[in-house]
Amino acid sequence: MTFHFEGRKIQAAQGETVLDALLRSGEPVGHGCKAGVCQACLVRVQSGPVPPKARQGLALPVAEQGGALSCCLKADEALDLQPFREEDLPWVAAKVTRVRHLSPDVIEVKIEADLAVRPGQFLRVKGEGMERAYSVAETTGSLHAFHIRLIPGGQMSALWAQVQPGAALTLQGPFGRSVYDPAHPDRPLLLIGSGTGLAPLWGVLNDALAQGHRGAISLYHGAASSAGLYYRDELEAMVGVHYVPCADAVTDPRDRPGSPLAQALQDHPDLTGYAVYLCGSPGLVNAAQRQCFLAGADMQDIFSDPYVPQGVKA
Amino acid sequence: MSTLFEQIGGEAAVDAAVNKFYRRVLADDRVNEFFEGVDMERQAAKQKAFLTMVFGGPHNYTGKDMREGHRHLVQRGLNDSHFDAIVENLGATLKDLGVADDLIAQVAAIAETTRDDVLDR
Repeated sequence: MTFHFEGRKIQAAQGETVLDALLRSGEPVGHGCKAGVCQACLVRVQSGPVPPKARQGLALPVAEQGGALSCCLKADEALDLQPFREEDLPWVAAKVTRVRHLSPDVIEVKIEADLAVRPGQFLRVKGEGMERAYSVAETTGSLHAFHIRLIPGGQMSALWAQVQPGAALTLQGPFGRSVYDPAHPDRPLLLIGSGTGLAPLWGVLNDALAQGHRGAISLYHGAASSAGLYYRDELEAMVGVHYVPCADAVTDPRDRPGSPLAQALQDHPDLTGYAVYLCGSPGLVNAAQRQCFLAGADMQDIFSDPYVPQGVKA
Repeated sequence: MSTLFEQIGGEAAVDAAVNKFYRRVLADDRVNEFFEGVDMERQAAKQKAFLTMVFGGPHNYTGKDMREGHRHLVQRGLNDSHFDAIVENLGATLKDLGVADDLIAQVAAIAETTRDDVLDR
């Protein structure tokens, strides 16, 4: 019996797992536990039967992109497989359709590209020889919105500062696992972010509301100063969302002083049963991952993509 | 006679234990320095693979994997006292979950078989 891997025919014995057949054929496939636990042997299924066990525990976007654990796939003539490499996703042409300021130094850029994206995921963007990653704050059909901070002297910022509707870019993606999971409509959601780290949180939040989320939703957004807290009016007006603006330098009486992480944990000391979404500087995200876990949120329910200055994803 | 893995509760037991166990480890000042800055998502998978193995379940670890995976920690001072603390946290986690003492002893015995590899001796 044979199946296909990256276009090659792989010989398999009856009842053998795909992973064992690949390894016996000398394919360099990652693997660890061979028991559906460690997820090291992930492959992309183009077509063929996938038992539920081969997708158990996988993040939603990974499963949607055809991801499956090869140690839990039985070799089958109908299987056509590829390695699961995100960097192999194609670059697609994109066009800027709208640019507007959300705050003095943050712009929203809307881009049209033929990509299916979930709010909260991120895309890689190439323009004028530079490459950056940006989270998707909104997505409707082929229109996707980024929040971009204009950094004085920033290389990519120079491009964004003068970008006009009609400008051509290329995009790759989607990447990332920070998306709303409609399988848990009743659990409380805690969203913590700083600066344009709001973008994926805004995306997850609106997706949760659109999908009828019933559990409590709390958003803690931090910025260096009160003036940096964009989307303040929209978030305050949003029904069903507890919005807490935080700033290092408070000039607006509605804001709490200090870090959004500290404020969130003060209000929510026990995070048992919560889903937590994090986006911001690596320092904030790393501290928040650990502190939220120790406060009771489970590892698989803490979603984060570290966000490095200049919008470069780690 | 069912296997140790079946008696403990199989994959459901791994899922129930993994967060409790790792939360105990991170809260334990004797060992948590070795987990500074590690990625939570990758850690979840590693911890589940580890628990599956010590619960007597299917695994594919070799002594070589154990050595290479921990060598950088041995260089930072990982020793028997830290290994003991991890086994202690493992036992306390299982006790919390209501696992019988004789099964906990069997889990500890499997963990014990990895000691020399983990500590690179």
